[in-house]
Amino acid sequence: MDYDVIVIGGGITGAGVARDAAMRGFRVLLLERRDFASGTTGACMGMLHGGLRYLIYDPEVTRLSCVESGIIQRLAPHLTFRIPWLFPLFPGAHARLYEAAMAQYDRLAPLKNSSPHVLLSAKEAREVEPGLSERIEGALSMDEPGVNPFRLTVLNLLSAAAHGAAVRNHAEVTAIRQVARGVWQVRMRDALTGQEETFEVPCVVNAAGPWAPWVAALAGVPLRLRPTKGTHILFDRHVTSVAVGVGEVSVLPHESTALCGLTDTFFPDNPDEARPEPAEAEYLLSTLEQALPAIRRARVIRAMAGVRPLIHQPGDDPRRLTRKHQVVDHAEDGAPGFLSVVGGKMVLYRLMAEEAVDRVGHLLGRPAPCRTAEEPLPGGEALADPARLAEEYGLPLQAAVRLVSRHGARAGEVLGEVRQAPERRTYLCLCEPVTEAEVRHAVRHEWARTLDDLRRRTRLGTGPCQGFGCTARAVAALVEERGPDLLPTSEQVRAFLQERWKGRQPVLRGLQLAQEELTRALYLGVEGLGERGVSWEPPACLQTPLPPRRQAEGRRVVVVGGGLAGVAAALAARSLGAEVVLVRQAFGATALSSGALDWPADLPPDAVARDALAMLLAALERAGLPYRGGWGAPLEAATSLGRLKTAAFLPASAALPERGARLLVVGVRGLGEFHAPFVAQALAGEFQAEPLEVALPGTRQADNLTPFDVARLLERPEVEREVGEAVGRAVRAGGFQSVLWPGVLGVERTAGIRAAWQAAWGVPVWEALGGSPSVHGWRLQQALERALRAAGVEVVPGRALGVHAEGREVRAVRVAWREQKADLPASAAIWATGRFVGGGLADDGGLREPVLDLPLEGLGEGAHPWTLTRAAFGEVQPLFGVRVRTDALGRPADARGEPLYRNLWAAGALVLGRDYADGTGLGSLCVASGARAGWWAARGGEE
Amino acid sequence: MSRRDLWSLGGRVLWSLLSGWRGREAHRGLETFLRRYAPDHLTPRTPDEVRLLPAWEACVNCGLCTARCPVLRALLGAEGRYAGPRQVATSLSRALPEAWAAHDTLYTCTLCGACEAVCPVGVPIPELVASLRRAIALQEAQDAAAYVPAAHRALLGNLRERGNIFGQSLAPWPRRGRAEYIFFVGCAFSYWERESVAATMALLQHLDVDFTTVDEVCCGGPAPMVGEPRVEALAQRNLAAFSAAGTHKVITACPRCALTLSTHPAYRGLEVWHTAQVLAERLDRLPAGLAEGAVTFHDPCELARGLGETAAPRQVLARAAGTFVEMEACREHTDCCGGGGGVRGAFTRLSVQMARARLEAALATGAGVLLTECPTCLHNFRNARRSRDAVEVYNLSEYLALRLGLAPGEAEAV
Repeated sequence: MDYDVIVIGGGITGAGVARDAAMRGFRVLLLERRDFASGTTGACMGMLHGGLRYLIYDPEVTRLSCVESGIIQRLAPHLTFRIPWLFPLFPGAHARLYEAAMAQYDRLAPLKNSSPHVLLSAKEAREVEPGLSERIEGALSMDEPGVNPFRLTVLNLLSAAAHGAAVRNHAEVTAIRQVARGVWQVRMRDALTGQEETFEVPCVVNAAGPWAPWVAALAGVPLRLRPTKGTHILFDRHVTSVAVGVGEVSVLPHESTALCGLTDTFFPDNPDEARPEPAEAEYLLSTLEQALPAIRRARVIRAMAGVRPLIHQPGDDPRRLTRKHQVVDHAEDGAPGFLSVVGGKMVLYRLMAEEAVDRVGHLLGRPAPCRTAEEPLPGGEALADPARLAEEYGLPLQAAVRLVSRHGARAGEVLGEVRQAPERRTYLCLCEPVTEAEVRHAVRHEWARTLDDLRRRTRLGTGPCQGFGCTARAVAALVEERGPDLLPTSEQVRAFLQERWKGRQPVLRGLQLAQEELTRALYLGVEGLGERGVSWEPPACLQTPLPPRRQAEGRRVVVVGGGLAGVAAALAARSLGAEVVLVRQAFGATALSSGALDWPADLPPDAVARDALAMLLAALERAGLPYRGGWGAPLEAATSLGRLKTAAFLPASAALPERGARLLVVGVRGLGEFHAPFVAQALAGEFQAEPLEVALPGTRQADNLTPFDVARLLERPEVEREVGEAVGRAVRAGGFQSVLWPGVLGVERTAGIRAAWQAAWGVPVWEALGGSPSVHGWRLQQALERALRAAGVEVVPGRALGVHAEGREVRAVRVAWREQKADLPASAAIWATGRFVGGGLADDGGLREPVLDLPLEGLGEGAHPWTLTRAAFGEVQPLFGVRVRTDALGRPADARGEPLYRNLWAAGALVLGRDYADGTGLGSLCVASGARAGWWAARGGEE
Repeated sequence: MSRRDLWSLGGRVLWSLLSGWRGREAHRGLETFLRRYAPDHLTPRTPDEVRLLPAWEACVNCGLCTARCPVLRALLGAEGRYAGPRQVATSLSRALPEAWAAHDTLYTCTLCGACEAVCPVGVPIPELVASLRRAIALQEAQDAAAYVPAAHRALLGNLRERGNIFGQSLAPWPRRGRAEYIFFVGCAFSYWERESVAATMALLQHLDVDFTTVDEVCCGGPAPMVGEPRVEALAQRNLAAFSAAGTHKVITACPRCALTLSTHPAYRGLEVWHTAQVLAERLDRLPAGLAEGAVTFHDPCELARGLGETAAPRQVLARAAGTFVEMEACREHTDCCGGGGGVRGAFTRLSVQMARARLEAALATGAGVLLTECPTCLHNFRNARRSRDAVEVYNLSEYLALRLGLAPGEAEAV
């Protein structure tokens, strides 16, 4: 037979079984339906704790857990860390009684390297944690070990493989049949390749966790569990410096985020259906609020739900379900050789596996002793020194510390190739951070086959931006390492974005909204990975014509907001002769844009829109940033993912040659966001594209270059010349007809560099769009700033605090900048404050326009952001349909259409209410909307 | 749960209650708690940091800050590492126990705030850097290791021992007893640019500003930038000196002093002016067209961004200069001179390199005179200036004093 035992399920239990069995000399095959630790193990709180609450009704479980925790910490010291814990004591709590109970837990503490409890006064507790409520009367401390559950699982599998086991993920078991007594036939299908295989084994271990009953059913045996769902939410960083617990709800600092749980609800359905619910997040937050009043303001980045495969004990109190485990031998069900391992807690995995493999040994007639408690897990053989690693490989210390926390003594192996290729130190994930070397290592040696697999191995995409910065970077490395697959690259990216979205959607709120907007603008608006067919109703004001021109001498227009809409409004008002002041708190969202000025294909532009764009494009031309394109003749540009973006107007440097041309795609070594071989392959369908990587002279370190670093270097004459010669040689040798760079051809000297190279190489040179920050966006913002100065618009830094009004006439706009406050007199004001990124719309316990409380439409039933979301990331989200309601002229108005103020306009993303799902950005719409408001505000009155 | 378990647990709890009398002291108190968890790098936050947490969490990883950061620009192709403002916000600052791991990429930040000024969500990155440096200093003590640059440790030691950042005995300034204003000189002027501040004082006298100096110590401003947010000891001494002079109105020519005295919670009840603001209030007393040739102005970070004051110096220059030319990256987006954040002491070459870059921008305007109003900017520019550079550098008030013949020395222009 092929193997001695097949283990079904690649969570911590299955991994533990595979390791133990392989170490005892059995031939093992492990099959995991999705990815390792993607089920219950991946949704847990990441703790190797004893379990304070089980002390009351399951004390043996607590004791065993403490023992096993100590063992696991010994096997993989680099993976585990200690989390101090505070339990605040509220008025009426019997501190002495709690202490006495805690003293019991203290007796077990040394087993898991924990310290005994400490009693703190209220004042002392608040020195440790200033955010604690004024109500508390003291706090009891303890601590628990934390662990990265994904790494723990993978290390067990690596160990299993080292002892000869075969390990497969994305391998779904489709049939289990007993073909003879004690002979099992298992059929599986690879989800990514479609390949099917069949095996025959004498023994099958069902370690599928909450899916175990379904796997058992495939084999025709009964198995009953008492499953409960647990939902946790994550904050983007350590929001407290210790864990804080209120009853069963705690927030704990964990690696670089903070976890918060738990819930415990009966869940008999298929675990695939388990979803975190907004109500559960609300329950967690409101419980914690008692101890940490400000916890609601913290940034929630994710919610996750898992199902605990608890065993069924008739008569159990549903609030006190046992955590005992069980190895079920289904011989009594007529299925000899089929075992199920259920119940337990993650910390007991090794013990559960030992009992299961004891049984396997007995079944196979080859009993052997268990040694899993003796041999360290991979990387746990010795303690690694991050400082030495950092110095040896030229890595920043923080990256070394994080790498060691995942790979321990083997971190050096991960970094090995950095010696020859120092650019592999480049961070693909900036938040955690995760180097390219580690990502490639995970693909080669740790069975990472999708972006989500990479996320579990390396924490890529688990930071505050949840994939915004890293998805595009990582897919290039993944595809290069793994080679072709069933899934095309765009599907890989979509699948990962969807997976990340699933975790955000139920808890989308507050600070996370700005991130959402950026993520959608880049991956949907620029890269076009959304769903086509957007139903969007333009605001009425976008189609309102203007009356014949009238000069606006003596009128003073104050524009709030420095994005495209605000700038267009300012230029428009100025063009009629009004005095214009533009107030902005930073640069405005323009600097974040891709540089493309999109217009929806299905919306015919009216005369005002045409005039608006003409005005803006002329201003850009005069400011030294020419644009190309036209109505009804959209242009195409390449993106960092090698996709083609269509836009009405593009920077002159960003258009593309004709289809079929021989295109040289140039990448820069150390520029993580543009991978030339990847882009060339992606464009291979439309062009004869080939990659070239150049190393820039003048950089001491060849990694983690930003596009601005590259752009500034290229502006140095000697660098421009040297690179020009190197690329020129390649152009001539390959007979290329065109050259594509990322958006790095100088910050301001783009035209000069392009002209010089085009002259030298004899072929046109283009820039791609994409990435963040985008040099195109920067250039656009700087050019518009020059245009504002040239037009005589006064630009002042500041945040608008409100308006002074007489009746329904705005008289002044109140602004603040650092320590200064001012009232800007105004004949008219234009609110172009953007959407979530600029703070034009905010979620403060409900969606609002935060300064003037302007009336909003599109809120639907509730004002909470998570109620306005849809399951698929790429489809139109009603959240992005929320906008300020305006009258036909573009003034914020109530439900009857009455404007709040006669001389207050609103413009831009704030009034458009348009999502990015169909691949169209808001650029030209913002310009049209802003210019309209500017022309109206300047001439004043109603016509 | 069985009866036996219940009895067993109850018995154990009772025993604990009784035996608890004996073991009690071992399990009490903050010191015990902190000591137990020092190996885990337990680093409590301050109440201010807890308040600022949502502002720090706002980062959306857009990277505009890294596009803007003048330190990153200077480090390109040079020695030294800075993680960059984006990494600080989205990565380095997320796990407090690992703050010590940021020590190799955090100390070249000058806390200039250019990043914050372009941040679309307004993350206060300089405060985040200061907070991380505080955590690193605490963990340095726990680990008995060297994370903090020697120059920063020395700076804090100097403040403790001598009351100024240089650890020197600084010659006092002439006193007047009681006056309407106190002129607060500040360490940097007293040590680096005595002639310049003497000229400033001469100008103030000429404008009939009734002021006296006091027996001052460092305002405390540099301390939070190098990891020590508590400046109460220094503040008490200064406040006592102000009281003795009988006034709560303070003028200073150092933007960092102005910012600290007007906003740090250790100082209360003061009315603070920067000299640029004082001059702007007395324009009619200044003759028009005092300046010679074309003049440009470098906005000190702490004046333009810290205090938000960019108008006052320009009002003065509108009166005093014949030709005024703006530098690139001016006003609230001014480029750092490289002098802030303890960088001058710990990474002097980088600091002067940044000053050089700024001087080049001034040279590019064609102006013969570069003016600023800050001792650190002034000193750094003078260090970076080469003899053949076609620009002279002065503080604004110093230059006007020289042009009025109020102080020894020629006001040269090229």
